[in-house]
Amino acid sequence: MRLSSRILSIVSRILFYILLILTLLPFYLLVVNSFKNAAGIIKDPFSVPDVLYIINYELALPQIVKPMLNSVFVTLAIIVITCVLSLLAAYAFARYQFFLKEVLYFGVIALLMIPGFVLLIPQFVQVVDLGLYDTYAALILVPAAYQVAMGTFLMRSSIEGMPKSLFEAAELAGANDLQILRYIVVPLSRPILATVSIMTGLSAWNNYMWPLVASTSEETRQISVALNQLVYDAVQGKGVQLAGYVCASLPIVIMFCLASKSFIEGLSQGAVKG
Amino acid sequence: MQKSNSESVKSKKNFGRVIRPYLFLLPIFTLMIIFKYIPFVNAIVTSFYKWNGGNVREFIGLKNYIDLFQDKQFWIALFNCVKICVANLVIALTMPLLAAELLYAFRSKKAQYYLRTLMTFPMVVPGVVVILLWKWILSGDTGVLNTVLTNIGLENLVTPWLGSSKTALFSIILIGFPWVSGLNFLLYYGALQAIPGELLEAAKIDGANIFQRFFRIDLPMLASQTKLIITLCLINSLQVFETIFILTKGGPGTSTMVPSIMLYESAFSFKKYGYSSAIGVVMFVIILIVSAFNQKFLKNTETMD
Repeated sequence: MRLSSRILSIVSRILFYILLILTLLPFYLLVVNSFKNAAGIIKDPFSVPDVLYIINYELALPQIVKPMLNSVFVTLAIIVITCVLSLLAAYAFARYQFFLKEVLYFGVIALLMIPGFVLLIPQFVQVVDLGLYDTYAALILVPAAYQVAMGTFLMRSSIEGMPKSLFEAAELAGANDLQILRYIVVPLSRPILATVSIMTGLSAWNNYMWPLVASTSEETRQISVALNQLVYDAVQGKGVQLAGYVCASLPIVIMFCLASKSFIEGLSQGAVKG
Repeated sequence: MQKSNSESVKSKKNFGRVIRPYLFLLPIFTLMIIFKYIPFVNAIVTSFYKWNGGNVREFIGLKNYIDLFQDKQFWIALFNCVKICVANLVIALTMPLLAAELLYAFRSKKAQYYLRTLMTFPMVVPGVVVILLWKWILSGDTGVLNTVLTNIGLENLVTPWLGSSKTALFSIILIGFPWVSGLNFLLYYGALQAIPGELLEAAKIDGANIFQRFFRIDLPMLASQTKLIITLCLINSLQVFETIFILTKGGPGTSTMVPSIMLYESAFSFKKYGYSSAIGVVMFVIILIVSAFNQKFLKNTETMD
């Protein structure tokens, strides 16, 4: 019994490590091959490179720096808009009783069920009609209109969970809504704001279809679209593209390393929205 | 909401209190109405029109829907979607659970913590990067998979994985192998951690072996996560778009065609906006039915136990 359970434990560990290695293998391949030239990649994609072809990065970076900066700007704007609008709405739903309250709340969260691709074309038409085609406004406002629903949902329950006595005390002291928001709600909402920001930020950075449809010019091109258009020459080959992929992944990977706990929180809550 | 004509300070203040929550909701509704509700209504209205995106726009009633249900390609696309759903469901219910159980079996909590973080890593790599990475791994000429097969002497298995109609759909399902990273793994692992220690202790004292524990304790305790995973998996599979768009655009032929790709192509390639909208409406209804069905199924089982 003792021995068999020990064997079982060893086998289960080995199995787990195999799964882990297989999971991380594509990313290992990505990193090592981003330093190889075309011949090196074809010869043996699994080997650690003996010569580092930094030139891959030199060729990739000029193609992706501008799109990355564009994406940083758009992502931050989407996060700010989502957090502000969701917080205001959640505050109204959590603290006030008013006519049509639950109907309006349903109105905010109901469209979570609509698949993104169903709205892709009518949203494109809408953006063209408003004269916003190929503008930052289109790239920011449309994804934000998706994110606010989940943001409001999460923040409403967060604010409803805050101690009532705090709000009562603040009201007795003559604080108005904006002061209550500023000095009570926002400080207590830090964890949920972090979760919403991570969720929103990840999906904004990763968004591919909307930027592809809503923008054409280099001026507004987003990183995910630029990655699929990386050009390279025959000598360096695939390595240039892989170097581009590494660079595009780095900002989020670095943040993940710094705050993996809140990231995992944000990821779990974000995908459960369904 | 009663509007008062009296000029007294009190009623002014009351009026302010009455409209205040609506002021807080004004920004969010402005945004959602312009960029979600109007497009949504337009999608439904357009599905009854023949529209080329420009000047030709005429009401044709249900013709788009009738055409759609007679379109062989649409049925192929739906059937491909069902295949993807079934495969993803089988994968989502087995592999992440296996990985979660294996990780949970580690004695050291610290090791569990670090290994979980490592396992989660692929989730923060941009989705497009993951898709393009697999595109390279599966590509015909210099793909990693074909290189490996050649090196281990299985040349006869070498094939353009995404470029052949026999293997394209299979290759798309293969993406993310061994399918253990991600949300499903986190959900299962979190649920395992939440099983009360006394329960496991009691099972140990009763002499339950690991398989008895798995079937009698773990599985029942994971029931709600399993239902959630089924729901998410079905809805996500019905919406599959980006992966196929980047990898095959539905080809070769119609071997990886799914409704989302048809919708995109009929609008942007063929300028049949009405037809495209009809596909969207039908998919929306299907997803609504699946969600409602799941909701019911979830509620029923919950009251049972």
